[in-house]
Amino acid sequence: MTKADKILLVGSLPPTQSHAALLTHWIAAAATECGIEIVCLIDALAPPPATDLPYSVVRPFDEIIQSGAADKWPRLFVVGSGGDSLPVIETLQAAPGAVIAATQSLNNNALPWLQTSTDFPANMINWLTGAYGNAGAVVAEAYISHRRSSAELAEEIPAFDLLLGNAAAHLALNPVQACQLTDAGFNPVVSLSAPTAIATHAESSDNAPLRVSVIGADAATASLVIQALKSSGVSTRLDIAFLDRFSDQTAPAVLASNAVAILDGNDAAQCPYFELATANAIPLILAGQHWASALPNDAYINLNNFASPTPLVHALAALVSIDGLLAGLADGTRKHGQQSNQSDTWAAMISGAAATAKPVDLAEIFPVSQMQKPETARKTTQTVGENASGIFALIGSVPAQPVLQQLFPDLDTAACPKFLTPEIVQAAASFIGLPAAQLQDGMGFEAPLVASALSENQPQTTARKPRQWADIMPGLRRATQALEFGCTVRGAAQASPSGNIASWAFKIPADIAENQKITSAYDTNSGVYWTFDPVRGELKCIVLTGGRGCLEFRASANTPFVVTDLSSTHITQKEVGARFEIPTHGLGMFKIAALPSGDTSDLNMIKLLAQDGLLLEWSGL
Amino acid sequence: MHILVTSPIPSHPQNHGNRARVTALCKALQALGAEIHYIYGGLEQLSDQQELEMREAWDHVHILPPYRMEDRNKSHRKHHLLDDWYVDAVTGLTQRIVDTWRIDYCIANYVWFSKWLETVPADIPKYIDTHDLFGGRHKRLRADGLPESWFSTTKQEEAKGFTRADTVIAIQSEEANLMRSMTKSPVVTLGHFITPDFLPPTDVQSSLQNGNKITVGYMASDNPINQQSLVEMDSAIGRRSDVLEHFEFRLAGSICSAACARNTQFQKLGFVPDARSFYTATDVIINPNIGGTGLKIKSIEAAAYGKALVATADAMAGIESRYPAHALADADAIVDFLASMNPAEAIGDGEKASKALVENYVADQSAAMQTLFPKLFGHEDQQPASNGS
Repeated sequence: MTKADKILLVGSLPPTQSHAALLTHWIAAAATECGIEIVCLIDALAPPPATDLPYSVVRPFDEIIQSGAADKWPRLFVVGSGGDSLPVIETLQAAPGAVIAATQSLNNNALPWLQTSTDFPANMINWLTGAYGNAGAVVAEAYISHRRSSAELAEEIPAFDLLLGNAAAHLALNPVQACQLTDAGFNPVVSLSAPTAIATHAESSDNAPLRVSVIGADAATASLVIQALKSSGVSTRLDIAFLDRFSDQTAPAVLASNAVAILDGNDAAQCPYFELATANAIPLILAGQHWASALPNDAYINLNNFASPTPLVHALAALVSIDGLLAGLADGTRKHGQQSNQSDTWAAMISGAAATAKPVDLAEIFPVSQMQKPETARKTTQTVGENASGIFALIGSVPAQPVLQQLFPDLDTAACPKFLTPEIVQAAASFIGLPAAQLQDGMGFEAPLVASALSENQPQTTARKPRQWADIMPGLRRATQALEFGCTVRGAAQASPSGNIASWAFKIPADIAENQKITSAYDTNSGVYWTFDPVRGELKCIVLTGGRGCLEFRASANTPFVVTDLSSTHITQKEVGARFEIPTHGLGMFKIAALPSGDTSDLNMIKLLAQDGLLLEWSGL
Repeated sequence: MHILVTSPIPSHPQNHGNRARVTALCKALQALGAEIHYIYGGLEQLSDQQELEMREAWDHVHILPPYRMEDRNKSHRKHHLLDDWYVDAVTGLTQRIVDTWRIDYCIANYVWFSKWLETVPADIPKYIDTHDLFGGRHKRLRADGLPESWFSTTKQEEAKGFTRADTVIAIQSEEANLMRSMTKSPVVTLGHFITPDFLPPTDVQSSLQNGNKITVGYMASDNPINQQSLVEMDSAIGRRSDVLEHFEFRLAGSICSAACARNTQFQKLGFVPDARSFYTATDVIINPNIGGTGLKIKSIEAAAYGKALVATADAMAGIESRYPAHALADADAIVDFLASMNPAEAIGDGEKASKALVENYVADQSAAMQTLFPKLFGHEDQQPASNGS
């Protein structure tokens, strides 16, 4: 396979429930079928996708990205309106390539994107007034002063110019979107429909009830439709299934259907199930979506009001009552499918657009913590066993209270002053995004940085010069001896936190959860410093362990969380923990996001962590 | 050497007299080799930049959450009680620091933020840097026709606060004398810290020959007392508008954005980032301050640049000077002085008077520092005493 046949596809994937994730998957599957090798790059904090995909999936910290192997590959981005597309937009800005917008306006991501910048809300005013003049200024003012925005406005104000301006090429999924992209000042290539790999449509026998899949109806509509069909007497001739757009059972169900009704997806620029249905000549019932405009009128029944159950009931009744209707619609979709299913053209177009991307240094775009491993302890360093008692100065990655108490039961831990070394505070502050001194104070560490064996030989990047322990010690009232954790400090004894197991809970206090202005805090009980990004819905946290070992996060309630340490990503549930190896320096840095579950649709991390929290378990090596 | 300092106000930026005072004292102590543990009590919301500057300036910085105005007590209808604005978290934090570090001196800025001194072990010298007199302040403001603002209490309450300190620090000698009448604790006068930076003598003659007017400057923050002083100065100029033929009045500092500066006869320069450039470009500095307490830092600052200063007696309270233009009655007297003076002679005399004043002031300052912080001067056993009793 040549380099041209390989594409780095940047997007999100199911189980993330978004139009962008669905479209990314379908593009990846279709391109693979056409002979293009797809490597799909998803965010470090994205939930793990299925393991049996026909293409490979990587994250920013993976070798293929960090080694530079993918730097010259053609790049294709799939951007949607959900939070899952924010990292994709960030990558697009840093490493431009060809882009496909999965939704019809992208407006829902405009505000979050602008909020990620320090010049918000000035950037919002500039964008809206630049694009829409006084009307834009009114919209900006309505939001900034009164927090007012509306779904109708979102449709009227596409954000293509704002979010996709940096792209090397633009692909439109339908003629309507092509016009929008042209209006935004781009020169889009109109994509043909993606070829559909799966073509195993099951034909039903004449006597069997007509199988109809309905995608996108809410529960109330579904119930009313079933009732109405029963009263009209046609229900016995119909086998109707209401499907979730994002379920992995939807595609097989569509293929097994005699007809498919797609009611939602007005925001989506293209519905993959529409492609699947037309490729397999399955008659369609649609609701006037933009992406259906390319379909000839004789290929589908158009509902004039998808919010009411009555038009759907009438359409379903017509399918079973009017002779030849089903067959006529099937002919219409078949003709469309034959016209659009031009695999070679589609593949060439995708490859050509992606090839406009220029080589970039992906490792630079996705920096992985470069914290060096501390030097091994000097031979002269003494170790201190669990019999250490009283008050010591604790230096380095001083572990959380529960670990510390297990290690040194007789230590007066509350009275022990804690100090950091430059390399630990630099790595932690850079991860959290705070000035080092602020983070130190926030985590209860004393201000002077203690010079470690590692920092003695390194050029200093912290504002304050580290000091020798021997210089600090005379200023301390009671701590005349020091214990080192995850570092080597002249004059300190090694704490050797190996072999112990401790478990404890991390919960955000209720008063902090209620105060929405507080987005970061240090929890002294659990030793967790956290900061919450409300735009991305992710929590960054630091856990110090004191040394090498394994740290496990476990959900204490039914809401699952996805956790990454930027070298691996795991889902944690009540029964299954997310386990991470902590290096010798004992500094654990994580990103956590909540995943939707059957129990809750509210994914407010702060609320969830205040209600249920997480369980942490440490085992030292 | 470790010194624990608490302050309800931030030390940065130094765009207010009280911030300049806190910063100057801590910087002077650092210069003598002390490590400063600075606790900010959260009276004002800090910007990220302020926090960063404070963390860079001091060796150990602890910042308490903002203490909202609506949460502050006023226990008495007309005035506050001593600890109404105290933040209890300060006590826990100072106890922890004193327990952890060998603290050599403790300094509480403002008497109403000094409750934590009660828990400091007896072997550590405890000071209150008063900044101002708060006993009966509300009455004094009323008498001067000014609205009550900020913190006011009774003399009894204030005296109660003074007993928490081993030594009370007054910012000027007149206040020191008043404090001595209120407390048995020793009182030391420690004025505002200045480093003399005498500018070259003003060449008035050439300026006048070139047809230029003499520039008269007033630099002030926007506090109510300064605003009132500006109003009175404007009125006085209005009554003797002939001075405008020979003098150009310039206004600098945050007072420029106050409502009273909208229709002023002063040319507004706004906030001046570099005070030195303002003083360099100005021939005469005025301070028309009426009423108020504390030290008028702008007066001593002008003198430190060696500028001719024309000021009211109130504006020079606690600053020793025999120069007549340093003890004028009010704004009218300032305008009269300007109108009647021989510019070249008066400005020359004024500059000499400022320099002499500053040289004495710096010597007193140095003596006060040795009295208060003997350990920093190598005198381990010497106990601080009053410098004026």
